[in-house]
Amino acid sequence: MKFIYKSRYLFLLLMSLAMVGCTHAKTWELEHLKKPEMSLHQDTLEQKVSDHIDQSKETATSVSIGSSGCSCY
Amino acid sequence: MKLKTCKSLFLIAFTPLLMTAINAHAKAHQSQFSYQYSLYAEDALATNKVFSGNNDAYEITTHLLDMHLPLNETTEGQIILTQETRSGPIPLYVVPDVTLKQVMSDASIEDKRTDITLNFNRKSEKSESTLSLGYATEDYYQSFSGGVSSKFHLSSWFSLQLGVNYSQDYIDTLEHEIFIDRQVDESKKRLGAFLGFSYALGQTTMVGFTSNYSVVDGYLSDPYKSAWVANVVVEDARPDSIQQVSNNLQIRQYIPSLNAAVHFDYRYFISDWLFENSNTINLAWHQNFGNGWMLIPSFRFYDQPAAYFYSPYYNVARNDGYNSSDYRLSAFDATSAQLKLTKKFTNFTLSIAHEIYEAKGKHPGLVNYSFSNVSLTKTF
Repeated sequence: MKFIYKSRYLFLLLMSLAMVGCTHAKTWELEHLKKPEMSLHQDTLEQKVSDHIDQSKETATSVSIGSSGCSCY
Repeated sequence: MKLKTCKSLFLIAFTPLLMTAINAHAKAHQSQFSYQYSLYAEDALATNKVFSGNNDAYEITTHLLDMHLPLNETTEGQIILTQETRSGPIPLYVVPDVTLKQVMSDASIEDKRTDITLNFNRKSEKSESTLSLGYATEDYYQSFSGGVSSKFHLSSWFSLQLGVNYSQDYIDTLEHEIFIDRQVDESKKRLGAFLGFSYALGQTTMVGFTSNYSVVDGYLSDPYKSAWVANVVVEDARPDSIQQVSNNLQIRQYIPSLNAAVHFDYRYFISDWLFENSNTINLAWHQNFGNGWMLIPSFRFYDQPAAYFYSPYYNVARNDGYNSSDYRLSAFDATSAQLKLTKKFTNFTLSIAHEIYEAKGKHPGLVNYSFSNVSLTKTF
């Protein structure tokens, strides 16, 4: 259970950053940030299959929506 | 308490799906059709690591179709259809010889897995939401899944995202010749949630952080695996519950002078099965060459500790009754390198990629593999 207690601090950090975000609005040029190669989540087909392979070969997995289980041997 | 928390998360995540229906400034969706073929090929284990059984290479070929169909100005339907064909022997258990050696199955598994996912995506200027339903079937295994996620654009440089998901899996009796006396009729369910944000640090730097939590209950042993316990081969037996937390940091840096972007991803993984934490680092360089050409070399490093009940073999049975000699629960490091090339034409994109993966640890069954794929995306 200790990792749940650790996660409380991460949650507080996340909320603090969210509040900072609500108080300092700026109008930067977003031209570069909107480029596909700057996306945080590379939602490509190749990534979907590659993640599935990693999950079947390694213990560490990340939960994402739209992912079904498998009997990966 | 856990259910109340998840209900609240579900409501928060689902609300934008309703709100965007009345949003007057919706973004338009485009029709898109993609196909990908990929080949996963494991290297055969070295003969000095195999005690007995078939040592052919294990392969998976995958065909994947992805269709985006606009339903109205704010909503699109997405269908993802995946079919995998797997063939090859599977590692069963480890025996203590002069060194540790892997016992492989004599016969080769031939199996197909079909996975269909339906997504409903809604976009507005202030939020994006997805409702997802999935079904996967293969020999002796079925999985039903669903989830909802939302992303709120709180400002032009700060977004908050959250979601919940659930899956229910069923494992039937194995009727393959390898497991002639193995009776399994079990199920497991997974409940997960994630919360994260993305933040623009400047005109060329983006940072994201996501924390995932999941709990899985039910039959978590591997019906295809066995273990050597006090000179007797017994079925794999694991705890019937696992909790996992995955914290992910992502940094993107655009370099205008080079027309390139650098990706750094770090994952810190915690599980109540593992002795310690697991780390994953991804580094990628996205280099534009003009005329729609892009080259992406990337490197990945992964490490994991062993599960507390894992052992390659057991001289005496554990008091808690657990045993597993699955290499995926052993301590190991893995490195992989990938090279990807994409070319964007007017209405379609072509992509090819090749990856090599190498695992290092004490378990004789750890695999090295290559993964190749080619994909075509057409936008209408």
